[in-house]
Amino acid sequence: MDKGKDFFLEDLVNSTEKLIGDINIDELKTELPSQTQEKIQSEVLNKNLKSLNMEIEPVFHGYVDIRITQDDMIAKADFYPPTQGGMLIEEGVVREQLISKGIVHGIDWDAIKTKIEQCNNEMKPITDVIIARGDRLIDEVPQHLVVEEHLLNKSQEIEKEKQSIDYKQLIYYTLVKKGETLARVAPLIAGKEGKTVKGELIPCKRAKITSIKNSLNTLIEGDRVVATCDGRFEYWNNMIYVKKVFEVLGNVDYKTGNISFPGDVIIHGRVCDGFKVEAGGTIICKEALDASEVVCGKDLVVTRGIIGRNKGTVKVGRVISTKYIENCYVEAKDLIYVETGIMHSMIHTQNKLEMGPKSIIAGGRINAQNGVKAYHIGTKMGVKTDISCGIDYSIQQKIEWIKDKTVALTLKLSEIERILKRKTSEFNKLVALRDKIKNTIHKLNEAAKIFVFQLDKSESAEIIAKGSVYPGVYIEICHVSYIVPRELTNVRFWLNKEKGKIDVETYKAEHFLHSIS
Amino acid sequence: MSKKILVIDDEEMVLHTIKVILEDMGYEITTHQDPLVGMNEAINNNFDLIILDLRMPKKNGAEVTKEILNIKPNARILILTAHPTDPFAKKALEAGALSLVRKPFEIGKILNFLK
Repeated sequence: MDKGKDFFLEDLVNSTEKLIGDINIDELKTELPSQTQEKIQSEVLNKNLKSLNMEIEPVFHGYVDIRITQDDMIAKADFYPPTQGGMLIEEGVVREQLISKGIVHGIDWDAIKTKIEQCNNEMKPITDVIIARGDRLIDEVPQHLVVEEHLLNKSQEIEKEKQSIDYKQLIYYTLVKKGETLARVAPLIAGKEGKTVKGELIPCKRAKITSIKNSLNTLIEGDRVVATCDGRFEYWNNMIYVKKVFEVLGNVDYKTGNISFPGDVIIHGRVCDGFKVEAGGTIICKEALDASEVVCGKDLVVTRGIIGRNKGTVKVGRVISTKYIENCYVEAKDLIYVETGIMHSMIHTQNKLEMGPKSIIAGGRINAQNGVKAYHIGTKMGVKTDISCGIDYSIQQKIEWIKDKTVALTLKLSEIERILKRKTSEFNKLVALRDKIKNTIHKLNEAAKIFVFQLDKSESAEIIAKGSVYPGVYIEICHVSYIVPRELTNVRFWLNKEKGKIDVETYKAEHFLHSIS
Repeated sequence: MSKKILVIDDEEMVLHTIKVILEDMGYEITTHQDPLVGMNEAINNNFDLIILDLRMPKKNGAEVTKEILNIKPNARILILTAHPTDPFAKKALEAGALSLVRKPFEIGKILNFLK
C-alpha cells in the first residue's frame, strides 16, 4: 500500500467536483431547455424509486451479537443471517468482536464455526450459543471427619429436637462401645484456581490448616476415629466426643445409694422412694422415677412416670419427657412433655407444657410461661386445678421470697413498735433495731420493684384444651384471672389485652400452628 | 405524684402488712376494715388500684366489687382470697374484678397491676 497517497481523499475530491460540474445553477433561474428539464425529472424519479425500494426491503449484512455474563465466566452469541443482498457472516467478524470484548480464554471455535455455517445456510437466527467458557474455581477441602452413617442418623435427631414438635422422639441417646469406629478421616482435597473468559485468574481459597486431634475419649488410629471407652456419642463443630455415662443396671436403692455424677446417668431400673439422683447432664430412667430429689443439668427422660408422694422434687435444666407425673414438684427451664396425665402436682416451666392425646391435668398448680396444651383440664368432681401462664416463675419465686421476708420483718416491726410505746430499758437498742428492719424492708422492696418489670414474659401465652375443661378450674394469664364457669370443650384461653380479660373461644387447628410458631 | 391504693380487709394484720410494704415502695395507702366504709371511700375518691378481701362480714368482696363498678366502671379491683376456687371469687371476677390475689397477698401481682 502506498502510504504517501490517500485514495479515499482523491476519490472524494473527484466525485465532488463531478457533482458540482453537473449542476448549472444559472440554468435553474431561466426557463429550462426541455432536455435539462427531463434530466432533472429523471434524476428525482430515480432517487424516489431507490428510496422506495429500500423501504420495502432494506439490506442488512449477517452479524453476530456477543455478550458476557456478569462473572465473566461465560460468553454467549446470537447469530443473525443477512437479508437479501447482504453479506454472509464471516469468521473474521466474530474474531474481531471477540477481540474487542476482550474474550481470549475458553473460546469454542468448533461451536462458532458450526453456528456460522448453519446460520448462513438456513438463513435463520441462532441465539444463546455459548462460544466461550471460563474455568470454574474449586476451593480446597480440608482434612475432615466423616461420621459413621448409623451414628450420624441418630445424632441428627439432636438437631431435630431443638425445634422438635414430636417430643416422643426425645430419646435420641446414642451409646457407643469402647473400640467402636466413630468416624473416618477424609484427606485434604486440593483446590483449583479459576480463569475468566477474559483470561483473568481467580485464586482458589486455601483451606484453613486443621489437624484432626483426639477429643474427649476418642483416639485416631490410621484413618479411623475410635471410642476409648463406652459412653454417649456427640458430634458438633467437626469434633467427636464420647461422654462417659454412669449406668445403673438395676434400681437405685440401698444397694447403689444416692447417685451424683457430673455427666449423664442411665438408670435401667426404677429410682426407689427416698433416693437422690443428681446429674450434670441428662438422666434417662427406663422405669418409674420415685422422686425424692432429682436434679439434672440437661434433659430428663422417664420411660414410665414421675412419682413424688407429695415430697418429691425434680429440677431439670432443659426438657422433661415422661408418661405421667403425680404428687410431685417439677421444675424445668425448657419444655415439659407429659404423655398421659399430671395429678396433684406443682409444675413450673419457663417454656410450654405439652401433653399427649387423651391426657389430663387433674389437681395441682401449673405455671407454664409460654402456654399449656392438654386434652382434659380439671375433673367433674371439681378437683382444685390452677393453670397460670405468661409469667416467668423464676422471677415470681424471687418476688414471693422477698414478700415472705418483708411480711416476717413487718410483723417484727409491729412487735417492736408496740414495745417501744411502753417504757423499756432496751429503748435505744430497740430503736436501732427498728431502723435496721425498716432499712432492710426498703432494700427488699426496691429489689421487688425491679423484678416486677421482668415478670410479664409472654402475653401471647395460651391454654388449649381439646377435650373438656371442667367448672372451677382456675386460669390465669399474665395475672389476669378467669374461673371456668361450666364444662367447656375444645377451647382456647387467651389474654385479650385491649379488654384486660381472658377470652375463651373454640380451638381451631391454626391456633395450634400459631402457638408453636 | 404517688399512686393511690385502697385496701379493704377485715383482718388488721393483713392491712398492716400491705400498708407497711406498699408505703415503703412509695404508694399512698388507705385501709379500711369495714367493707361498707371502704366501699364509700372507693366511690367518693379516686384510686389507682383497689384491693378487696373476698370474705368479709356485712358484705363480701363480690358484692363490693359489683357496687363499686356500677358507679365507677373504670375502677381496677383485685380480690384477696385464700382459695381461688371459692364460689365468691368467681362472682367477683364475673362482676369485673381483674384478678385474684392469694392471701396474705402476692406482691408481684399487685405491683404488676400498678406498673
